[in-house]
Amino acid sequence: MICRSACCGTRLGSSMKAITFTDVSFRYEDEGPYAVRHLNFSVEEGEFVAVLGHNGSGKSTLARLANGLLTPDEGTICVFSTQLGEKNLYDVRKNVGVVFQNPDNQTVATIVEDDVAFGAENVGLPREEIGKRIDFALKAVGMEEYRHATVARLSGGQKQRVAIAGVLALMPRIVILDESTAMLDPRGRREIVDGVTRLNREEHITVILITHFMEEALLADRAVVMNRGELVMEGAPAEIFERREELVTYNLALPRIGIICEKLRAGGMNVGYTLDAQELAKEIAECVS
Amino acid sequence: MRIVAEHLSYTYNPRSPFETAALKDVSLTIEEGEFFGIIGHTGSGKSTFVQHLNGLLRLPSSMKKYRPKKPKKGQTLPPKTVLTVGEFDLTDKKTDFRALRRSVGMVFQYPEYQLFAETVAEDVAFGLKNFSETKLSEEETAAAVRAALEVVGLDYEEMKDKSPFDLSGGQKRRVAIAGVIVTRPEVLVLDEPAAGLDPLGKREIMELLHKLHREWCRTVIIVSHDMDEISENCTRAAVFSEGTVRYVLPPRELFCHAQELTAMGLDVPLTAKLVSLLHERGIDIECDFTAADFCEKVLAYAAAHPKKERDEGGEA
Repeated sequence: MICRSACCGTRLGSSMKAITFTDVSFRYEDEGPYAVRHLNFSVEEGEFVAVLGHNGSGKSTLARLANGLLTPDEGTICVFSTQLGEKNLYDVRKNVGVVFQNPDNQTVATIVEDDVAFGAENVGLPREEIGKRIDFALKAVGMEEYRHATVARLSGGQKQRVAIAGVLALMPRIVILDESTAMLDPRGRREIVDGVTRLNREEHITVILITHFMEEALLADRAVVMNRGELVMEGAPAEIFERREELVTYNLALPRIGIICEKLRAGGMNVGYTLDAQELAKEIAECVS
Repeated sequence: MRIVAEHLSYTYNPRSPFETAALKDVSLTIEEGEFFGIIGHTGSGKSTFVQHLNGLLRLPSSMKKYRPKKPKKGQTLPPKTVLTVGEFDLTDKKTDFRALRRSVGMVFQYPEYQLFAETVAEDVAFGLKNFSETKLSEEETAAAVRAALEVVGLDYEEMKDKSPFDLSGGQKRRVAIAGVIVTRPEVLVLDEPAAGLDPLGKREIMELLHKLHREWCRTVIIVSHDMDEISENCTRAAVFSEGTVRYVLPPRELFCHAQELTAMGLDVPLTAKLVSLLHERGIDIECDFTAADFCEKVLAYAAAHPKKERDEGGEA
């Protein structure tokens, strides 16, 4: 179990909000278009939320707003009922860990354990505590055998897991993955998605997974779709995928299995829209003798 | 240009603790005009192989020198290494590598990270200026840059004076590709051309590659992890594993070996997964593993084997 006494009083209310965006707007340039516009969005503690959207839909801006890398032009953001402001930025960041897209841009040390320790060292934790946290973090991402390995010699998926471990060493209560799987091969992607799913289920860490792969959103409790800085769809992942026409209007291409379902239906075969190959095979089998 | 590799081996950091044999006796021929796929797990040697094609990695120059002319008694000569790209013999160090690089374009992974110039036009022209034999006039350069930008779907007038860093991700990647094809290479090699793009961006890039294949470069070679991409697009694909080539087959035959591929830690396309799942249920579908053909065959199967309730029509 994760020790949360280090930061923020533990208030294990049944449905505490982890992050709340209230009417948040943000734009990168004064006269430019809004990257995020009048966004109202909240995540419960312990929830696993997937944020979908095409490039430029504002989903990465959302991640950067959530841990104070960007400050909203309008509206407020609360993390565990603390309103984000200049004074508490560092405290909030201990609670909200963000993992970015490119693994090579996120590793700072040459040896895995040093890299994982980097964040924890920066907040000035005692030495023994850092050791414990490295143990915990590497175990959580399944990289304990690589503790003394050279970061440069790891695969992309492994590096990304080290980056996640570095975030976990700060024992955040929220982990945001901002397209952290986009640069990985299919196996690396699965490693990461399985890893964070486990963190969510076993360590009860709130996970926000930002992605443009619909398949990855399947494991989430809830999925939201962003388009032009606005939240346009929300619901259980399976429900969202049923609303195909709508998804297409938001420039989200269907995953390949969705295309196959669609073609089979167009050909008169009565299969449902599923994202699971097993399920589709079963349905096809039921349609033939 | 036909690419022939025979008995090609390559070792990184030879005679050191980090010695790794990346290629072991690889033989592979890529015909002119193919849309060729190269598949393999991380560390399988696929990038090492591809980097040989334009001489970024070269065979050790000692190879020819120390090769015994005649076998000693009781010894057999090791098989001769051959590596040719069209008329270029890459085992010969006298080969004109600059001319080779002009005709074999190489697009690395995430090519947009290699953009560097102040304007798009300068960036695209860089390779052209460096690889050309004679000094090009400004008009010639501009014409070539215009053609390259237009073929990748960007408007020359609109783009030329922009900073490449102000473009969107998809546009940056197109500019980077334009910077490679501007020399009109006959062979275009791309390492993970669609990686990191959203599904729509992926589709656009693959459409662009088909267009280039039709209009610009005779041979296109892609390295990819995405099996669906391979099955939908390639004429043939080579599977690398642990420094050797396991299969060189058209996708429709290759993905019949779903089990062996999975054992190598590789994925198979969704269609191949569905075919084997259906096979378990006693339904045998034969298709070329593209989504379109798979659906067609499944529907044909359903028509031939309708459910019992409406069976009266039979085979008609």
